[in-house]
Amino acid sequence: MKAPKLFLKPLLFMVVIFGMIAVITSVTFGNRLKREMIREYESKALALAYSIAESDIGTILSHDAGTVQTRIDQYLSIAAVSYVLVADENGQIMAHTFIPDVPADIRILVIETAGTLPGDEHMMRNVKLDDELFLHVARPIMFGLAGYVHIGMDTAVITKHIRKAVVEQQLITLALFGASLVLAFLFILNISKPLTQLAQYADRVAAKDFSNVPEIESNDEIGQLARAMRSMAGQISELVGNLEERVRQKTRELQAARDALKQMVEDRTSELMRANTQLKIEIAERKVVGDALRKTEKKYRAIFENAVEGIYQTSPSGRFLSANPSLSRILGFKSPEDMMSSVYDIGTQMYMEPVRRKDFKRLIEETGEVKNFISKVRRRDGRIIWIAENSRKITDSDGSVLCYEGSVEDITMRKKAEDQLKRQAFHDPLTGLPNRALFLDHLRLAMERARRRKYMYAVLYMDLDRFKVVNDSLGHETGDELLRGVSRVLEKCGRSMDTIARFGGDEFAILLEEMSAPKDAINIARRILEGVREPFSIGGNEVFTSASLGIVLKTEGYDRPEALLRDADTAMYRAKELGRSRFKVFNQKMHDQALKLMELETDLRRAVDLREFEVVYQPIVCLDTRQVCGFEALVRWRHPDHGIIGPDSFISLAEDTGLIYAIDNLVLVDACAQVKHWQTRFGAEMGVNLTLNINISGKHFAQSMLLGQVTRALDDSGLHPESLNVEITESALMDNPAVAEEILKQLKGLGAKICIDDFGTGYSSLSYLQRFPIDVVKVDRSFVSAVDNSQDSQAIVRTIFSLGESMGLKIVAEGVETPAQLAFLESEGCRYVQGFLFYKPLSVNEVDELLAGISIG
Amino acid sequence: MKNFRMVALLSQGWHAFSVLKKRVSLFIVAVIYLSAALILSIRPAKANESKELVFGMSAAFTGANGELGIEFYRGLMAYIEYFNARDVANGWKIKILPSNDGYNPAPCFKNTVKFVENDNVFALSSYVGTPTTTRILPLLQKFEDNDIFLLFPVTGAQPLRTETFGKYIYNLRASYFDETAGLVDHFVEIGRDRIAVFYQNDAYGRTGWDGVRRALNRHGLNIVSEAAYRRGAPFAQDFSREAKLLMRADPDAIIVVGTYASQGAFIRDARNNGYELPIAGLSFADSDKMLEMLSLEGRRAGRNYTTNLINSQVVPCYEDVSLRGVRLYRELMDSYKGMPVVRTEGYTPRRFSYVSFEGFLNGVLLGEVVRRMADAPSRHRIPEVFESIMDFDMGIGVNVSFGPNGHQGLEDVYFTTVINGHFHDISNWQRWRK
Repeated sequence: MKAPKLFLKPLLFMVVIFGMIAVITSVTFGNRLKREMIREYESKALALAYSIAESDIGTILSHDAGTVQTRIDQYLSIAAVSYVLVADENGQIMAHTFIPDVPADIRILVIETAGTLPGDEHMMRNVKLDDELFLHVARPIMFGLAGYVHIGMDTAVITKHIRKAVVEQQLITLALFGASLVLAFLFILNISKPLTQLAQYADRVAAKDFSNVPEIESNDEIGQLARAMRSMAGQISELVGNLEERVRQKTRELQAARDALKQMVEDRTSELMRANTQLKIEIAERKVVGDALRKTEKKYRAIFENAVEGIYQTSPSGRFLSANPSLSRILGFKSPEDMMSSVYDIGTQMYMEPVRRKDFKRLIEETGEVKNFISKVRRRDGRIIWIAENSRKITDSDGSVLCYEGSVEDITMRKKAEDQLKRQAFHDPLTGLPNRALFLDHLRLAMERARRRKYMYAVLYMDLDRFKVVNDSLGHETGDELLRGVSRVLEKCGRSMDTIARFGGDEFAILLEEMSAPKDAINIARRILEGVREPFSIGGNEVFTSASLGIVLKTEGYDRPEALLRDADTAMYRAKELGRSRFKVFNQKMHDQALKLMELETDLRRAVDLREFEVVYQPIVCLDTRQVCGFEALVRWRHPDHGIIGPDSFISLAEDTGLIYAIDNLVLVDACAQVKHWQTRFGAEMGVNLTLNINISGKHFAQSMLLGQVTRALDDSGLHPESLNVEITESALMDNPAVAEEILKQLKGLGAKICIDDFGTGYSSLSYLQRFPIDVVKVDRSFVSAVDNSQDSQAIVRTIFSLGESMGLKIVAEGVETPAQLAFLESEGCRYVQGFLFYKPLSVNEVDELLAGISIG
Repeated sequence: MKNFRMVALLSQGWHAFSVLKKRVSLFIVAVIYLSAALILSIRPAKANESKELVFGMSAAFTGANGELGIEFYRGLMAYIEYFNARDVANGWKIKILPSNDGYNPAPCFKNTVKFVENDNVFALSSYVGTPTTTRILPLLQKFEDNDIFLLFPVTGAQPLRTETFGKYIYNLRASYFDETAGLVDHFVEIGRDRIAVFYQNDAYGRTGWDGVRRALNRHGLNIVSEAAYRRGAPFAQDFSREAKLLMRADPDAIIVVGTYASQGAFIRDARNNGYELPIAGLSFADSDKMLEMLSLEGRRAGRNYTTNLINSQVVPCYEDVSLRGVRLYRELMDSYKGMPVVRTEGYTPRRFSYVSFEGFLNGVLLGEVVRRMADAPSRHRIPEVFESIMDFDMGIGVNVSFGPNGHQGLEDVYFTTVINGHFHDISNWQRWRK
């Protein structure tokens, strides 16, 4: 049996491959098997040691050597276990299975172990006894307190087992290798035999020997080949005979045909030359048309390529069919070609959210086009941009989609601007804190949550104490810096879920969410107060401030965030009233007060509408003549239920609600008319030009409408401006000195005089007195009433008089009630007084009578 | 009737077998086997109906310790037959069910399970051998609910006398600790305080070794050298190496914890090597058999191997005919003809021996236990009966007492030495004084 040459190479190849596989598997698996088995024996030894150590603690503890021996004897029947030894905690051997005696090596090991093997560990090492190797495992019993177990595994047995397993495995591999070889050889022989026969037959056919056709009847390709060869050989032998005769005949025919052909070629050549000329003309025509077309195409391509917007055609499957450079620039590709070859799925490669492509396709399928389709996309370099797409569907005549065609615009900048705007709308630019709108939004959500389930939250309202002083004395920049510092304090005190907002100015609000107990809010409030009290280092200065806090803890029962905030605000004001740098929790009493205030507010609004106010006039007496020389107009509210109400009870409310403008104006108009009336009626007889003092609220004073109102009142009444003293409180002037100076100048421009009310109570400096165009100063009633028994007050009053004198001011003393006060004032050169000692505020009729009396007398 | 039905079913089964498919027929065959097994298992239960109490006895009747079991069984049966013949227990008879374990733990374990689960024994009695008996101790706990007790095992091992399992066992003989302590005390007293131990490497040997060690520790001493041998060593084995190993520490005496074959072989090889120091053995070694072997070997070798031999015993000398018990024993042994179920070649029964005397005494006490509950024997009354045994006189000079919570009948140890080819009580230890 000879291996055919054709298959010798595959056979050799197979031998090498099979051999390699066999060697590699044998080595790999042999090693692996060895490792596994060694590990298995190690763990077996360990497991046995554990088993003894854990199962017989009782007998070992009682030093019952007989029972221990019974136990360890059983372990000897386990394969490869050679010896077991149990020692007590001192290393004294309690029982063992050695015959006749424990070898010295093991004895040393046992004593060593008792001293060194700690707690819950085990010792594993190889020990050589009488030229045999043992795997020795030691294990403490009860952390060594009860003793130690030693087990020896005969490595010879282990090695024998391992070798047996490895040899077995290698023999199997070898047998498989041999069997594979024999099979391969037989298989190849089977294929090659008929082929060899056919090859020999083909050799014979080549020598024109068509006999001895090989009989191959297999059904495969070789069988087919044999059959084909058989029929081919028959045909060939037939053909060979015919062919020789036909060759001769055809040679003759060929000669004739060649001659004919020669003639035809000549005819054809002349025909072709004609056609050639025709073609040249045609080419020239086409060239002209082509140039025109190219020009047009170039024009549109220029538009396409130079467009600022990205223009594209995409397949419905998400590939770019064409795109202009602008689009590739937007998406961060080097060129449109680069982009078209890299992007094969727009949905996942371009859009940040793959669902956008689906949305896009849905929209375009529904309406045929998409307009201003805004999405986030990822540029090639990973940057995220916003784009707006306008696209339409291109269909063929059957209505099936060919592509989508559209344009892309990078709107990242616009989007950023929008986001910025959005953020600005809800955040305070100075501190970066949420603003009132956002706060109210969060508060609304919290209220919503509390309505649905048990949810505790609280609202803190905070205002810095005397922030204005800082602002005025250290400048706005310092003020802003302080606000920023306070914001940081608040952020530090608040928790991550809380909302800390700045409402403008120095007002802050804090929404405490997810509170477990009211005391949380109190703790945070305390922390805030402490934090704000710490000095802020601003521009090298240490700035001290403090804050007042109002807290609403009982947040249930509110249905409007504004109401809740209002109550927090109220509580905060209470805290301020109580002395600042403290917090106040909104309670029922405040609630009641608030209610009362609201009621009063309602009444006051009505009072303004119904003109429930009256003006009374307190005469000002000139001490030289002891005669009335003017009046201070005072407002009274004739409440339908509560009767007459003095200004102290409602002016501050009126200021808060803005009703003060109406009330002040009412008094102004009434009083001007009234005093004008008295001037015309009694002025001539009295020989005095009666003056009118009108109180203008500090809040009203800052309003631009004041000037118009005063002008109108004077015009309407005909009162001479010289008779009008506009009384402004000292604090109203100091709130905003710059504006105040301007307004005062304008009033003076009208001809009116300016009177400072409650002089000495504020903190105005003398420089202001000089700077403002002041005509009259009113000594506050608190000083006047105290001159009887206070040296300080006397000194103050004295100072005011000397000051007024030196500055050429007219000085009026208010609230004179006793002759002693009058005597003191007179002695200090006082010329004008006002007070109960002379007159209390009088109604119009009473003044009529008084003036009538004077004019008669 | 039932059998007839079975036959009908069987024939039907075979008919079906030929017709039905293989699966179904297999099922039917299984049914038939199961039915047959059921019918067979009903039979042994009937044994209980006769007035017979069965006691399971697992012992070595073959192998290197086989003659110990046989001798013991003979002594036991001599009395049991006497007991049964006299009918002193309200008609109740004692049946001993012997089973061979060849002095190996695993067969002993199987025997015990069979005794309890198949043979429905009244109690286990007269087990022979330490490694075997210590192995079945957990079974006693397992069968605690069946009130299975082990009565008078022929071993002095400690696990049978201590917590966990001690409560399931009633011992007659003194413990190995008692025997070894006695030997050690005597040796130390006469100045032989360097003591070596040759012991069987199993629970028996270890208990003896432990006993020697503890006794020596009490004197502030320790074992000077030791050597172990494998259980089952025949007389032919050469122990010269072990003897030399022991002698390396220059001991004053050697205590052997072994069987008659191993102890005999060791003595022979020690003497052959010229070591003439006293060699002491324990009761379990069947001193009579050992003496027989050594005498035979001595005649063959032309020298005397029986000098300086000491053996502790747990029963008095059977030559002391002044004792009533000894007289009855000798009388019954002479008339006893029975042999155990297992035959051992080359064995000829000895007329008297310490072993058969112990067997006889076991029988006496077993008979007494049965007699004391002859009105209605039941397993759970066993502790109650033992509680009632106080100062029971078996005619051996000392009385047996258990009493409440007592599990140990005798604690006396007798020390013997060879005088005129027989073991006799030692009258004077001073002859071995050093």
